[in-house]
Parts: sequence; structure tokens; C-alpha cells
Amino acid sequence: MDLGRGIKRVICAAAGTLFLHSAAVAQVLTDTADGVLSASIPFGNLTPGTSTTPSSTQVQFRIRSNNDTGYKVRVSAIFNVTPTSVVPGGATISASDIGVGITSLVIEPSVKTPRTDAIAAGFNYDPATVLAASGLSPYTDAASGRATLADIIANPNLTILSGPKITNNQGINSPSNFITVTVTFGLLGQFFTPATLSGVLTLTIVNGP
Amino acid sequence: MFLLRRLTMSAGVVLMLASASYAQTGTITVTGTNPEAVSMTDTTGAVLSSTIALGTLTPTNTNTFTTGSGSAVVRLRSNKAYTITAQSSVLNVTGGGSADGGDTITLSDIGFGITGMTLTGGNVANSGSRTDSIVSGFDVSGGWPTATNGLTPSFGKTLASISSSTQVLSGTRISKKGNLSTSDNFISVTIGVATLPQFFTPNTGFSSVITLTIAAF
Repeated sequence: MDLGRGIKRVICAAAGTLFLHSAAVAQVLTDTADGVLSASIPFGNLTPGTSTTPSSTQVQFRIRSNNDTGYKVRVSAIFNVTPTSVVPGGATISASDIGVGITSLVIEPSVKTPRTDAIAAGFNYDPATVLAASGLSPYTDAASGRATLADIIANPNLTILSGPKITNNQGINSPSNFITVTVTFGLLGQFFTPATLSGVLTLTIVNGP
Repeated sequence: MFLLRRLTMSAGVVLMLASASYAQTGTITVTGTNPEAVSMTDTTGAVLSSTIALGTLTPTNTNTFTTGSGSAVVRLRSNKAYTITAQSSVLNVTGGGSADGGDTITLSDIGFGITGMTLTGGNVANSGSRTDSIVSGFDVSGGWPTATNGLTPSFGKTLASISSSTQVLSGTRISKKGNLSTSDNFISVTIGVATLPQFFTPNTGFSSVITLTIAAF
């Protein structure tokens, strides 16, 4: 069957349209190896000690976006605690005991500048450097500048980071077109009820503003 | 027709690649464990290593005990029910003279017990309504028994009573939360000893080490 020139054009146009439409999904969020972000933060055994410095750990990920209106990184979280002993009169660890902050944004050479990336209020701090002078959790909440996991749970799809267009090309084949975001978590080992804890944060990048 | 198939396949490939490349979500999983935890320290938060010096035990004509120049105040923390056990070492006597038919001081001449407890604190579990239990005989918070004839009285318990590991105290969970630097999540227990100076065989010194152990149960 011989296709007429008109039909060929239609098919080409359709293919092109589909491609452009796909490319319009212009944000990418990956781990630092440009794979799917699936990071684990094991705090391990949180044995109480004498230190006033919380245990801390970090996760890094890359964001790319060529959307003219910029990008937003949203986060939701769930948190589960399974006590392994009775609680009488004591406290069990909760999401509000885990500090969360964005501690670094590293801009690669191909990223558009000057930039006005904005970290959500309360998340622009380093949980690792907050001293627990009383041996109690030193984090409060986002409103007072020391956000915790509880702030995220209470506000699903919370925008924790936003900014203008990152680059013209958001493809992950470029080594210089992304922003590396570092998120730090902090937690002070205490005489909480014996338990295991687990929390999952889901990060999503979407069009801004 | 061949061209149509090729274009259709190309479009499909482009879509698949685009979909696979542009991940827009990621997850971070936070995990941890709060283990069973107990702690016993001195009043500075350091490892307990106290000395109760009874000094020179010169006999007098009173029935007044010597209780030493110091006491052992112990801070206890736990996130579970706990027990405290005590064990004394043998009485090590140095420079002992000849007994010559007399008696030499022994572990049973030295009373041992808990002289006081502070069971409240802002981050003490069940503060104000705790029911910590001192094992019978070890509670001397009301005072030591009275010596009446210048001899060792009938102590409830002596160092001889704890010559093997012996439980002296137990209770429910102590700490609500906080760590070892928290100033209000512990209970304090004061350990005391007492003896009546007598004409025991002379010596230049004696000592016994009491080892306290806290455990969760």
C-alpha cells in the first residue's frame, strides 16, 4: 500500500507531537547516579548517651527542569513506630523527634543563573548542628525554624523547595544541568519506649510556580 | 505501509524512552531502633565509683554508728522496668594485728541499705506515683537499728547479706525520654553503710567493693 504524502505528514506530525508532549514533562528527580531515588536512612540502634549532638545522616538527589515557570519539589511522608515493650508512663518516639532540613543546594555549570531557589520556611536549617542541651529532642516545628517529619506528615504534598527554570535541557544525559539537593535528618537517642521505627518520604518534582 | 509501521514504531520507542528517563518521584526511607536501655551513674553523670570512708573506728562509750564521710548517690535511668542488684567483695583487711582470742571486723559488722530515694522529676515516668520496691531488710530510710550494748546491732542487712549478687531494688520504667544529660529523667538512690566502732582486732585498714548492677526486665 502506497501512502500519500498527506498521510505521511500526518503521521510525522503525530509522532512529533507526542514527543514534544512527552518532553513537556520537564522535571526530573533522580539519585546522584541519575537513577530512581530510593534512599534508605538507617539510624540504627539509638542508644541514649551523654552527647548533646543528635545523630544525623544525609540524602542527596538531583533535580532537573526546563519548564519556563520553574519547578517545585513536594514531599509527603508516613511514619510508623512499633513498640517492643510496654509504655507505662513514658514517651514513645514520634515524627516530631526527627529533624528535617535542606542543608545544601549545589548548582552545576549549565544551570541558569542568577537563581532564586527557595527553601520552605523552617526547612532551611541543619538538624545536625542543633544542640540538644537538655538531652531532649531539640527540634520544634517548621513554624519556629526547626522542621520535623511531623510537619511533612501534617501537610501532605508540602512544597519544600521551589525555583525558576533550571536549564534548557532537562535530560539526564548531561553531567552539568542539575541542582544537587542535600537533605539532612537528625535524631537524638533517648530513653524512649523500646521500639522500631520506620518512615517513608516521597519526593515529587512538578512544574512551578 | 512499511513506512507507516516504521513511523509508528519510532513514535512508540520515543514515548517509551521518555517515560523511562524522566523520573519525577523518589523515596527516602528512615529507619531506626530504640533499644532497651538502662543507666546507672553518679551525680555528675559519670560512671559510678564512690568511696564511703568509715575512717578510724575508735571505740567510745556511746552506741553511735559511724556512717562514713561520704555516701553513694546513684542516678538510675531506664526505659523499661528495672532491677538493682548488689554484691560485696570479701573484706580485705590490711595490717591486721593478732586476734589473740578476740574478734576481727567482718562483713556482717557493716550494715548496708538504701537510706533514701528521690522518685520525682519532670521526665520521670509516673513521677509522684512511683512504686519502686526496696527488698525487705535493705530499706534504712527510717534510720539504722539502734545499738544498745556497744555491740553490732541486728542490722536488716549487712555486707555479708550481699556477698553474692542480691537484688535490692526494683521498679517500673524510670525515664519518659531524654538521654544521660537530661536533668530530670532519673531517680536518685542513696546507698549507705554503718558500723559501730568496737574493740575489734587492730588493723591499718579494711575495704570491700560493692558492685551495683542495673538490668531491665
